[in-house]
Amino acid sequence: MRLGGAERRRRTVLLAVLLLVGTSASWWPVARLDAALGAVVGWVGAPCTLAAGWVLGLVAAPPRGDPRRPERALAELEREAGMPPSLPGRLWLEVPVLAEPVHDRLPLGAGADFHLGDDMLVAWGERYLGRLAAIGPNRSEVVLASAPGVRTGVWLVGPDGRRFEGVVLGRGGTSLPVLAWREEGPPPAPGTRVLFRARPGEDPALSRGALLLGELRREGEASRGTEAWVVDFALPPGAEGRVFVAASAVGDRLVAEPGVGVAGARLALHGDAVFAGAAWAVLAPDAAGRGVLLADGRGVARVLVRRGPVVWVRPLRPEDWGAAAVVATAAGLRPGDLAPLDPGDRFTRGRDGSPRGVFLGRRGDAPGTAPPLTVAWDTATEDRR
Amino acid sequence: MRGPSLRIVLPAAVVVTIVFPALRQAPGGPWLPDPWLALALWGVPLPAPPRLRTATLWVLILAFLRGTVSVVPPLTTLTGLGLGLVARELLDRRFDTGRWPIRVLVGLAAAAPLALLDLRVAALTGLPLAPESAAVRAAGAALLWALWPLTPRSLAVRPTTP
Repeated sequence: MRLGGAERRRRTVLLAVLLLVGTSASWWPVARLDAALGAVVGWVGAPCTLAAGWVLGLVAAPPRGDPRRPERALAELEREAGMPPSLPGRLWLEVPVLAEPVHDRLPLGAGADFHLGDDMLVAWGERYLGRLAAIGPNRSEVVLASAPGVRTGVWLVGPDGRRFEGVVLGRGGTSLPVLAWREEGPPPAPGTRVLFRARPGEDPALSRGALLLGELRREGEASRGTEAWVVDFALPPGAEGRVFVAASAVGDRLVAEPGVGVAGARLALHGDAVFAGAAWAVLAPDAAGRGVLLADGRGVARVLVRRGPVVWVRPLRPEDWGAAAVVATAAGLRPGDLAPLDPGDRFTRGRDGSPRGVFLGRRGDAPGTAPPLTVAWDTATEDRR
Repeated sequence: MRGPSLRIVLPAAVVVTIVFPALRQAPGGPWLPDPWLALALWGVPLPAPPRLRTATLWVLILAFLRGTVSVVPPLTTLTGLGLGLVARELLDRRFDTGRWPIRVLVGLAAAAPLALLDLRVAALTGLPLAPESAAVRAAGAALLWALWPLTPRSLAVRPTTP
């Protein structure tokens, strides 16, 4: 059959456009397009995946992995490190952190459902962080003391232990909060401790915890008129998992558990036609979004993509999780990328769709497929996506 | 692809799909050429027929099958195979692919898009795929096509009668 010139041109243009779109969508993946196509392939092609897994199983048994149990759960370690000193008439509520702070506001995974209210004081360990705001049904935010325009009453503690009142003003971004006012007294010195002070009319007991904002530091140059005293306020690394809210009246729960979705899984194919053993497929029709694959209670693989009932995962050794893990070192919890050789227990750090605190094992533990297999994901991350 | 050709080729592609993940994990498996690319190069005749419906269906089937046993998105496979076949067609019009060395080079050009897109998927997902491994796979597919130059009649996309 001979095609006319116009028809041939039309087809050539159509083919070129399709290939251009395909190339763009392959190089810069479009999540919804991949999900739609992947769902079709996953549902229709699942028998093919299972058959390939059966054939592979005939020549290479699925890896069992190294069994391991954590010495202590991450939540327990965080609680021990982060529980602030007790305050008279107050209890500390544990609230999970959802994400990194944005514009000096730290999103939390509880709200009115956990009886949280505006202006409640938030701390981690001995550090004052800020106050609650934007209370939603199951979400809230900590407005950090570093947020622009936020004024925090403080005590400046001199070397002799004498206290002077002061006010610290947040400036936002990378700027440290500045000491905006201080009562008459001896001039401040670098290293002066800056403690939280309750507002006038507020329960003075709140100040008794001696919660620390930071230490004074001199910034700028006096000769240019830019000299200022700033406080080296920073979010403690340990506060990325949970923070503590001071409450005078509490409900039946003191701990707000982070939302975690769990679905049963079954190994479909412990290999990949392109990446060999670097990717596995499991059948988990009830799984949602990204997360982590657990085998016998240990996180062994990161979810890469979900195609209908088929979930593709990347098996990882605990040390290969890098910054996506936290390590329980002798000196406390540290991000995995900062303690790559530490032999301590490793846990998921969260933030990437994985729930925080899934035990990954110790350095050198091989990933395996020992039953029961489950897929776990952070429901809060999925909600916000 | 009508009649007996589809009856032969489709089951063969399914069998290849089911068996190949095991071969990929065998010793030397990471260097094996991509069988779906080889099937695409073999299954679509050169020069391409005026009507592309059957060839398109064949490529769609191959992309679907590869997507069932690999984390590489089906759209990526579809694009890689399509770009490869178009590159082969364009080069065939300009060079004499009857000569063996030219044929190998044309095969390499046809295999390159899929290899590049596989490397892109590796970069996006963090999965390990060495560039040299991808290059050897592409060269293998090119050699296979060059060594077995004729599209078997039973596999060929038949021109539609007017």
